[in-house]
Amino acid sequence: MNKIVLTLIFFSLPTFAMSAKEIMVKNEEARKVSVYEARAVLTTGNAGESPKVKDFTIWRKVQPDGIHNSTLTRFHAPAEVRDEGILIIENASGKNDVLLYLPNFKKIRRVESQQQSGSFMGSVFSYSDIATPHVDDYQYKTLGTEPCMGDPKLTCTKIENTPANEEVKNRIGYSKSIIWVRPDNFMVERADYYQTDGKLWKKLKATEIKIIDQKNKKWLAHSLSITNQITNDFTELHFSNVDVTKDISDALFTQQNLQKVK
Amino acid sequence: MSFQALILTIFFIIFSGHSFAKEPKSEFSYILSGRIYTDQYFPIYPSTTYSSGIFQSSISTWLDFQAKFSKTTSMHAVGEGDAFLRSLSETNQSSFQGKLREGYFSYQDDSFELRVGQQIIPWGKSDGVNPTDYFTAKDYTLLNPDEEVKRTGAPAIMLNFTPNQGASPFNFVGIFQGVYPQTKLIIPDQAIPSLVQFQKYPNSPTYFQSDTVEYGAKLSYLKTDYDFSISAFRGVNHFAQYVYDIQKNLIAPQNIQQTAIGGDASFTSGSVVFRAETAYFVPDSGKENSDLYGLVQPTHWDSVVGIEHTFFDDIHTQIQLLYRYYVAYLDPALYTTASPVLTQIQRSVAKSNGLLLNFQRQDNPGATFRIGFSNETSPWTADLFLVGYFSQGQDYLVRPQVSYKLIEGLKFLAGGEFYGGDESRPLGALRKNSSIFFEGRYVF
Repeated sequence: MNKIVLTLIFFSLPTFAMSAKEIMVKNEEARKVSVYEARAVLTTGNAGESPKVKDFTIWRKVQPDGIHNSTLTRFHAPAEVRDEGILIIENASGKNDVLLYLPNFKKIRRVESQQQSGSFMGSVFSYSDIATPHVDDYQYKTLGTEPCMGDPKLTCTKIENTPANEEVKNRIGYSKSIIWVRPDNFMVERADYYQTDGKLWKKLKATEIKIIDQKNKKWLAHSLSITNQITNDFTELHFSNVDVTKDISDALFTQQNLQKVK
Repeated sequence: MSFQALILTIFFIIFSGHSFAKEPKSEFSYILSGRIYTDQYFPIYPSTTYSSGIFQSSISTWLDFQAKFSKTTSMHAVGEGDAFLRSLSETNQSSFQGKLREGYFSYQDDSFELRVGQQIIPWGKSDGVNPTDYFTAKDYTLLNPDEEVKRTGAPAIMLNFTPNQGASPFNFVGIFQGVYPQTKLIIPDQAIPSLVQFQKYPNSPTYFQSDTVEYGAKLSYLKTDYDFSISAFRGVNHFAQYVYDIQKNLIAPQNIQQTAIGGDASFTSGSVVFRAETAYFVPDSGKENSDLYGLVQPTHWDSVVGIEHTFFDDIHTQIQLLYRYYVAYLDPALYTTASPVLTQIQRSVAKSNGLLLNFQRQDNPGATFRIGFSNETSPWTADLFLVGYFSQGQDYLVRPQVSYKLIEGLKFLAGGEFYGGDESRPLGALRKNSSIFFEGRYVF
C-alpha cells in the first residue's frame, strides 16, 4: 500500500508543480526522437463497413534546428496506393510543406496548406495530425487532473491547447484540443479535438506507449486510435519494427528522393 | 562504340559490383501487381464518314513486376494486353495487341540513379498541357479516360544525379532515347487532303538512327516550398505532319526533327499552388529558309501558367492560361509555288498540318479549367475538365466524369468527351467524335 502511495506521489507531484507549458515542453522532449524508421498499418472504417487497411513505412528525423521534423511515408498496400509517397517538412513559419508523389503520373504534386487539415490517406487523421505539434504553436491552460485511462493509479494532467495564431489554426483545422498527459513519461494518452465552431470532432486514444530510446528517454505510442465523433469513422494507427538506430541521411527528405521508390 | 555495346557496358558496370555500388548485399524481393479494365465508348452524334462514329469496346490487362536484387539494383516491367472492338476508321476493327509499356533495370544510390530500358519519362509541372514533355507520346486512338494510359515511352537511358549524397537542392537529369515514340491522333475528315494518294498514319521509325534518337537534359533546383528547372532537348516532334512527295505523288506523314529549350517552376503560397511551364521549339523544317517553311509547324513558343486552390477541403479547382506564338509565321493558305496544281496540293497539306498541330494563326491563346471533388473518405469522385482557345473561331473540349469505388481496388467510371466550336479548328473538327464512356477498373 505504501508503495502505491509513494508511486502516486512520485509521479503526481512533478506535474502538479509544473505549469501547463512546462508539461508540454517535457512532452515534446519525451516524444522528440532524433530519427526513426518504422512500419505502420493504418486501419480506417465505420461501424457499417469493413475496414480499409493501408500499410506503409515511415521515416522521421528532427531537422538541424532541433525542433521541427521531416517525415517521409511510402505506401506498400493496397495496390491502389502502392509506392505513393508523402513528404512533410515542418517549417518555423508554421506553414508545413507537403509533397505527394503519385506513381501513376510519375509526378510530384504540392499539397496546399488548406488541404493539410484534410484527411491523411482516407483516415480520420489529417496531414497536420501526422506532422507533430510544437510547443510554441499553442497556448496552454491546465484544466485539472484525472486518473489516467491507461493506468488509473496515475494522475493525468488535463490541458487545453489553443492555436497560438490563425496560421496554425488554419493548418490544423482545430479551434482547440484537450489532452491528458501522463505524469510518468509526459506522453499524451488521450485527446479531444474541437472543430472551429467549437463542436467536439475527434477523440484520440494512445496506447502501447513504450520507450524506444532508453539512453535518451524517448517514448512512442505504438498504437493510436482516433474516432470522428460526427461520422463515427475510426482509424487505428499501429507502429511496429521501430528502429531509432538507423543512420538516416537528410537527403531522404527531399523532393528528389520522393520519386525514387525504394 | 555501338549503342548495344554501350548498354552491355553499362549493365556490366551496374551488376558486376563496380565501386558505384556501396556494399551491395543480396536482398532479393519482388512484387507482382496489375490492373484489369474495360471501356465502352459510344458516339453521341451520327457520322457520315465513320461507320458508327467513335465506338470502342475494349478490355485491357496490365501486369506490373518490380524486383529488387540488392540495396542498389532493381528492375521494373509493365506489360499490357488489349482486346478491342472499335471503329476508329472507316471499317470496324477487332484486334488484339500486346506491348511492353515499361521494362528497365535501375541502379540507384544516394546521389545517382541510372535506368536502362523501355521507359516513360514525362516532364513538366502543368496539368494536361506540358510544353516540356519532350520524351513521351500519347496514343489518342486508344480511347481511355485516363490520360496516363494513353502515354507511351521508348527505350532509353536515364541518368539522375543529385550532388552531396543526394542532399543538394540541385538535380541533374540526362536522357538518351533510342527511338522517338509516336503520338497517334484520330484524324478528322477535315484533315484529309484531296487530289493525290494519301497515307493516313506514319511508318514506324527505325531504332538508333541519327534522325530517330533523342537526347535531352534538365537542371533543377528543388526545394520543398518551391522549385524550378531549365531543360534542353534535341529530337523529334512526336506529332507526325503531312509532307507531299512529288516523285511518288504521295502525301505521307513524317516526324520532323526539332530542338527545344524550356523550363518549369512551381511554388506554394498559402492556400494557392502556382505552376508555370514554357518551351521554345525550333523544328528543322519549319524555319524560313527551309523547303517545308509554311507547310509544317514553324518555330514556336509554348507557355502555360496556372494556379490551383482547394475550397472546403474537397473541391479542387485549377485554372491555366495557355499561349502559343509562332515566330516567322506563314499562313498555310498563302503558300505558293510556280505551279498552280502544286500550290493547291501543298496548301491542302499545309491546311491539314495547321489543323492537326494547331498552327492556323500566329498566336493562339487558350485556357484550361478543372474542378473536381474528391474526399479520401468518400467512394465518389467527380471531375470536370475544360480546354478552349479564344482566338477567332473558338473551339473547346469539355470532359466531365464521375467515379464510384465499390470495394477496395474496384472502381466504376462514367463520363463524356464533348468537342465543340468552329469545325475548322482542331477541337471543333472532332465534334463528330464526341462520345460518352463507361469504365470498370480493378487494381490488384
